[in-house]
Amino acid sequence: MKTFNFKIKRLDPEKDRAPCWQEFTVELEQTERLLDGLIRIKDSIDGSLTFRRSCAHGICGSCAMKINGRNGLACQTLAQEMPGTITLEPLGAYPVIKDLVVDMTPFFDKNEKVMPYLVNNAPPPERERLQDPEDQHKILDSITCIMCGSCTSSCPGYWVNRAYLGPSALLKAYRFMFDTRDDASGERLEKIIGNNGLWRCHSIYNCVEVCPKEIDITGHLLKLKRLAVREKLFRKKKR
Amino acid sequence: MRHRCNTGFAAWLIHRISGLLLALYIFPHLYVLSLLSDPQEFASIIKAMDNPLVKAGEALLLLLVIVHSLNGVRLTLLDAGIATKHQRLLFRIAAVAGGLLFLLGLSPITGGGH
Repeated sequence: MKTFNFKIKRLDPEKDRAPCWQEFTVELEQTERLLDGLIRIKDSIDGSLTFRRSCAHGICGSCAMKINGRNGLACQTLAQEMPGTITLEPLGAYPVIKDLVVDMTPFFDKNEKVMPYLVNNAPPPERERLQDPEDQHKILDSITCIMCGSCTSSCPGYWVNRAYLGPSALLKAYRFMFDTRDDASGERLEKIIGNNGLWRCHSIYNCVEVCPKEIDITGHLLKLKRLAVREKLFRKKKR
Repeated sequence: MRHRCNTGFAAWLIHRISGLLLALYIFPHLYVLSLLSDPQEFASIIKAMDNPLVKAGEALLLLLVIVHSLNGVRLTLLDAGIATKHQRLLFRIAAVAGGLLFLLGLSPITGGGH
């Protein structure tokens, strides 16, 4: 067991006017993650500490937060990897509901705008719509997105323009536009090339730096840009 | 590491600032060129180029042009889908190449030749 110092940015909108920092000291095993530390604090020190958690295995994306100034998943970060005091803040760029819990509505609204579902005009087959492994491989990385919101809230393009779709929604657009079974590519392209869309990405790579699933998001967005240029400027067939 | 310290963010910020300064530089540059019709006034401006402050300005201009153009090459490569996973390496290569070019370019400026 080793002692760790957690410094957490707290805000209770019913009591506080501004956020404040509170420090906690907990003992954790070598294999325990930051989420374990938060659970220990809530269970044994301060039950009012508020954070989201669900799977605790890096799949649901609920515990995304700013860890030592950098977005990541609390359930995926080993406490022993953190040098000194562990600073935890809610994800930036989203409104704080309480402590480490943010309102993800703006994030999911952006996602909705890119039609995040398969559109296939052919009559439904008896079983699932099959796809060649090679075709599936083209979208494999984008499918692994767990929608934790780390990327969009780390994007300077999003910081200055909250109407910008953001890397996550654009990655979702990629996931369906490059799906060979999808028939709504053109419609989706129109939705992402507007004033607050694809061209707001300036290849800053913050999204790639923080993605807990290590997806090359900017690389995907650059492919979308090339597709947009091909379709709108040269009108060549995609893929 | 904070988001603001990321290589990509630094590259973007440097690119914006250098681009803005170069755009502003165009106006005095065009003004000086417009004096080409008057040989005497032009000669006096060329003489003023020997002022150390102007020399420093020239060095700064050289630096801005190198930084902006090399990062522009980096961005063009990334846009073309080349080395998208190695943007940090591209930035480092551009920084080293830019440093060498700057040192090479400094010698005619400090040597007093026009």
